Amino acid sequence: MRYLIRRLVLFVAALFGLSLLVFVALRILPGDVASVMAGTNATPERVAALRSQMGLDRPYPRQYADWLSGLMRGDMGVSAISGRSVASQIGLHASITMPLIVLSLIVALGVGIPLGCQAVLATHARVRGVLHALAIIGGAVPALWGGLLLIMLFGRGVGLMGVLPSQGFPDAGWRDPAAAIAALILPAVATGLVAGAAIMRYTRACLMSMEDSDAVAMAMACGMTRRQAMLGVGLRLSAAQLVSVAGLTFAQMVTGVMVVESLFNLPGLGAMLINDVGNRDLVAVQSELFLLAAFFLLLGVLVDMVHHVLDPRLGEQPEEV
Amino acid sequence: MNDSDANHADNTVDAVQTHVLDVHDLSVTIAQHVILDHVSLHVGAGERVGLIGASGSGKSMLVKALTGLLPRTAQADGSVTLGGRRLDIMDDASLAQVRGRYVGLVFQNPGAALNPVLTVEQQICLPLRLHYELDADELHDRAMAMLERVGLPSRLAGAYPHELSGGQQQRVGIATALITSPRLIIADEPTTALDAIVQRSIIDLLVSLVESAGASMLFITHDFAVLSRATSRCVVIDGGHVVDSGRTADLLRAPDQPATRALVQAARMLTLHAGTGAGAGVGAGVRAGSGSGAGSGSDVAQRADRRRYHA
Repeated sequence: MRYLIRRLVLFVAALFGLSLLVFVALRILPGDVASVMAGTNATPERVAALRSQMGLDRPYPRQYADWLSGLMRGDMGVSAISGRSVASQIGLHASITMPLIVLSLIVALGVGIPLGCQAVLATHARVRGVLHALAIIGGAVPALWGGLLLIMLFGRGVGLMGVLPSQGFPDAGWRDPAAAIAALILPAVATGLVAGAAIMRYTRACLMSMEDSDAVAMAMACGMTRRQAMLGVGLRLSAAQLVSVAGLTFAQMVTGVMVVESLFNLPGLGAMLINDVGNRDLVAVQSELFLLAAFFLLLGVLVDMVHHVLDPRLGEQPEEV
Repeated sequence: MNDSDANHADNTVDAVQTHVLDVHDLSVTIAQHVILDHVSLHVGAGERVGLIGASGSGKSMLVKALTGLLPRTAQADGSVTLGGRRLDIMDDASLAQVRGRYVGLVFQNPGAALNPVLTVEQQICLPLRLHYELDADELHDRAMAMLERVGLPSRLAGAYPHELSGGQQQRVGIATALITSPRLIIADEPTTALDAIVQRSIIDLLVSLVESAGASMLFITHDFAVLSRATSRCVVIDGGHVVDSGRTADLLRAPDQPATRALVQAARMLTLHAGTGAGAGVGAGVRAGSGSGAGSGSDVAQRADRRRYHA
């Protein structure tokens, strides 16, 4: 409990530091955001009005305080380009990217962990060799190329077996869950297989390091078969490392799926970020960058907490016994 | 495994009945490197046999070969018979039925061997869970009784291995090995990671528990002082070969094989070093005990232990 509180306090402190960093970084960039947004033909009055509308004419501490208090209330301002609430804009795009990442992670873990285990436990050395080669090849294939291949094989209207949609997201969004999930399957498989190959290699390496460990030998000495001991003890003791890898993979996917979103024409967070940065939409970019970085921090906290659940050695200081 | 090996096991019914463990012509090769070369030994019912050899002589690999814990790259040949069962021809599932039930293993480094995510009680109960269908209350009762037998307070039942001292961890290891009352205990250098005082108490505990259970023991070590407390007969292994065997006391008193002589000499030097300081008392030698267990170790070693205890 003490650890949990300490970790949460650190998380909140890191969030404050992060907000300051994002705010300062965007303010010290060269060029006047209001002038760029207003366009080259804008009158000085128009630029001044835009600057005032965005609150850029106020002192920096005031701007920071306003932004921070807005963040705490869930109010991230209004985009000067689209005129829409930044929070609702992020929510809309995240409703595509986040399910895509979760699906990708399910594919990655569903493929990577069982095949990684099999790459160590398979009785025949040839099977182990083939699986190892598969992990290396899978990791070397870019998600973009894998995605193209999937479109050519399964893309509706273009693929050899056109069974799944491969372009865009349904207009009805998640009000039509079947169509929404169908639109995410091919991009999730493209992203998940590449990440799955990495998780497979990590799983294989973790299990191989446990193969000759005393803990596995002890479990076998108690009466487990080699397979039971490797899966019940070896994999269990490797779980903390695998959770770290899964957490990192999840974090990498947030930005990593941008390419796949672009290939499958999905209006996710990647497309939103690229558009807003290109438009110099300061209000939107400021909050988007902060939320993205905060998400990475939150993942770190969650991974640490899962570690504590998985490994009692990381728990509170033991009593003297 | 060839036919002559099978015949050997089948035709030695008498030996099997009196020998709890019978190893015949056991060879182990890893990547064309011979680790064990035609090793034969036996452990009689209720007998405590020591297996001694220098580091790298093949002791631990022999333990693994006896219990089917060899690495997958290892090739084993020869026969291993435990209580009339040929272990060397069993598949992994059948071996798993034997391990933990008929043969218990005590590991060298309990800190690494005990499962760090299991409590002491869960660890001790693991062989029972794997081999018997007992309800939770019965498992708990047996674990508590076993904790008491190995001298651990019941409050440690919920502790994790990292919360215990090295000696306490080894007591948990011994409890886990003995909980199913196996016929044979194989202790693989169980005191190497412990200090002299804890070493003595662990050996005494192991010997008394094995004796009271009427089990046999194969005790692996490279330390003759430890061996003399725990065993009555011993086998010396060097370079994967059995080079000497006999009563522990006799081997200590008059070693005639070079490998045995080297081990005894090393034990003498180390013991004298600990007991009287560097270079003192050369030639005093190690006085071997009767090999009947507790209290039979070298006097010099005991003095050294007392000195450390009072320090």
